[in-house]
Amino acid sequence: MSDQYVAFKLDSNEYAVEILAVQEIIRWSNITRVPRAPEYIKGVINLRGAIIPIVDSHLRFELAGQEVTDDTRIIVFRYDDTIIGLTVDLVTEVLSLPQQSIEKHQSIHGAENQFISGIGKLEERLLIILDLAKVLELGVQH
Amino acid sequence: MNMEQYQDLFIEESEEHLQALNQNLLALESDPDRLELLDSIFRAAHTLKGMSATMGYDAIAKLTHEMENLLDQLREREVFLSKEIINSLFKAADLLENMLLAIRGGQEIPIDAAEVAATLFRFDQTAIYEPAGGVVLSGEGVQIYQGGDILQEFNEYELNLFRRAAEEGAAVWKTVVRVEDSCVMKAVRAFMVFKNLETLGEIIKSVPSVQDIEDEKFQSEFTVYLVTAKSDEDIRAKMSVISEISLAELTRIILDEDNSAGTQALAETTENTAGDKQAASPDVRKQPSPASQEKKQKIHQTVRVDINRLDKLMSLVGELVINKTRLEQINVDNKLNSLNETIEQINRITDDLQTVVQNVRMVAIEQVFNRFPRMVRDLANELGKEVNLLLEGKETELDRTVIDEISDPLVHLIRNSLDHGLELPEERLALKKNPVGLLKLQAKQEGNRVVIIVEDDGRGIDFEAIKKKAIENNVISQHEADTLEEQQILNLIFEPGFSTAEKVTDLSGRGVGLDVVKSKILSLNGQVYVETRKGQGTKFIIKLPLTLAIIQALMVKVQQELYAIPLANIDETTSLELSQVKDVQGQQVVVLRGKVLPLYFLRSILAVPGNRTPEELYVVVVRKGDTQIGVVVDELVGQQETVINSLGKTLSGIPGIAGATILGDGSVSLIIDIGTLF
Repeated sequence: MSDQYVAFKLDSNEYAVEILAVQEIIRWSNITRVPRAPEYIKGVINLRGAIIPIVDSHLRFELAGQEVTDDTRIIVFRYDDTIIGLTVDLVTEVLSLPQQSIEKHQSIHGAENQFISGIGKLEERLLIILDLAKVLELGVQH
Repeated sequence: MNMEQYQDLFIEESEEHLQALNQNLLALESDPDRLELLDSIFRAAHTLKGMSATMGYDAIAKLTHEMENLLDQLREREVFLSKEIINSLFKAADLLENMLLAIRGGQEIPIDAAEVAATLFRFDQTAIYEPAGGVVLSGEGVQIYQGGDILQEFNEYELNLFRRAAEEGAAVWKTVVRVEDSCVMKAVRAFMVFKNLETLGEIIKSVPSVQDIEDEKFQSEFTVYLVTAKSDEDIRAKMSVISEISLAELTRIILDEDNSAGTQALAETTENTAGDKQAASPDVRKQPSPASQEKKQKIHQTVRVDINRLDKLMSLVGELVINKTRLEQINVDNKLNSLNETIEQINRITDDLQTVVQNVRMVAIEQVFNRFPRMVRDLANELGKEVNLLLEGKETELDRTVIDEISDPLVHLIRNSLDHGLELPEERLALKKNPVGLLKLQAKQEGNRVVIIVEDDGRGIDFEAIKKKAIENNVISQHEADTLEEQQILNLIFEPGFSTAEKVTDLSGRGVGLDVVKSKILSLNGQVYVETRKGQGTKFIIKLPLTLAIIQALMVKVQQELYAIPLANIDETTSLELSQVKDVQGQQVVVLRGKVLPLYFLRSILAVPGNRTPEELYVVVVRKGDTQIGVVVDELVGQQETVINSLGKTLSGIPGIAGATILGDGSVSLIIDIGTLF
């Protein structure tokens, strides 16, 4: 298992996801709304000829809404044959988090804690490590 | 040798042979005098046997071998064709099909073929187990070719050449050449023999080997196997010009294709002594059968290609079309005259390319239809009904993906017609109808779509029964039942959980109703209608698009959003002022040419954000089933070729959305699925 992570910001918190799951990071592009889709699905985009759904992380994690800025990025994940994008406010860096610095802890409260697999500590920074399986466990409720 | 790579091919080809076997059995059943059909059936069984033995599927090989034995006896008139025999052969074919299915699923059904055959073919066991082997009379005496003898003499490659020869109407001649003892240069004589014979045909084997003959490693005789279409006289003539040699024996080997790799081979010989060259008996020779000539004509040059590769090709063409549209957009935006010509060229080429690729993916509906005669026969037997099945337009072509999906709905409709539609022979006689019912299956192309019709001349659909059932099943209320028009009542049969069968039979009425048929066809972007006349019959009409991957669509705008509506669903478009919209019991309608058209605002159906309220609206009149609905949009943008992309696993199955397409400017637009929109 790699200990490389992609760190990004949502609101004031810093998050991290395993780099191996990340296919690429792209700029904000025109998103086509998909009616009747779950609310946290922002829509779909055209990624070099493929249609991929975009998850709005603010809505997914029930955070306050956030304006799209110049820093807004879409992290494209490849997960279980599915390619899916997640909007983030700012991608900070790629960093190395040794296993021992990650605390598998469930003590954080709030809507997003079901998506958290642990907390990484890097000097003074705290990084919320996302459980991608849960974040991207999407399904359309018919 | 690793056989796995051949497995798919084996299964595919076996299915084809099985299909042929079934078809010929059916034909034989209706016309038992056509003995040439037995040959075809034998051939199919035999090929199956050969292939399965090669692949190591012994159970199939054994069963087909038993079939062969029976068929052979039928051909030899040792056993006479009966209904019972036909049925056993059908059962054997079913068994084979199941075995193939099992192999496809990764296992083999271990069956004791002898036991199965004993049960299946028990009507004449003693005859079946008689040892095989051919007995042939020659001019001079009796020569017996035991089954194994010929086999041992030839390897599989040579046997294959034999078979090919037989297919091409050529014969195999065993030519035994004797060189006079006084001859000094035996090798030269032998060389001349070879040379002369090669002008007639192909030498496929010699005993001893060519090398040994050239080295004079033979006593006084050597044997040459020659494949030629020429007569024995020709061979004799060619040989007579060479001095110091004589023709010791000229034997025509009839390795009947049906018997070839199996257990027996028939040979017909004429034995000659040195001086007696003309004493042949050519009149007993078997002429190549018309069937084999027919077969020769049918050979096309084809390549089997994995369907995935075609899908890939199609998606590449799709991307090309997208980029072409993008190029057009750039041209429009920048008004580059110099680009015009190139774009026109590209347009033409992509159009052609698209047509070609689409054609490659087209499969004749025959593939689906061919299953039906057998199925109808079995069902009719089971139900005690007599049916004449008419198949029309088998050559009509549909996209492979549609073909794969359409089979089940058709099976359902056919079962329906047989079970509910057609009456029993006695009933029909009482009604002064032909006791043999008619079931017609018809396919034809109409413009951009394919129409499939399933029609019977049975009792028709009983409106009262539908009403009663619909009320019972809470599909409609009593009040609705009284007010509905006939066509609307008829359409109730497509509602979920609806079945009018009085009793539940094995065939239909199992709760899986016509609603499944309808939803399947809608999912293929098609439509289904029903027409019925009491006492005269029922007709199901299915309309399907030729292809699913690239469609023509009308782009419409609602607020700031663009949507594509498949042209196939659209009847017409018209403009409308808000004031014309009437409200009838909560349903917005408009009167269009005297007809009331229910209106649905795409804006509210799809909860499109925005608050622009245009004065003039546009109505896209779409057809859903056989009712017309008006879809209200803000603007009509234009017709466009659209490549359908799936929305992926995450977003699949959203009602009303069939997929997405990428527009010329790279943005994504959703394709409306009229069938599930409302």
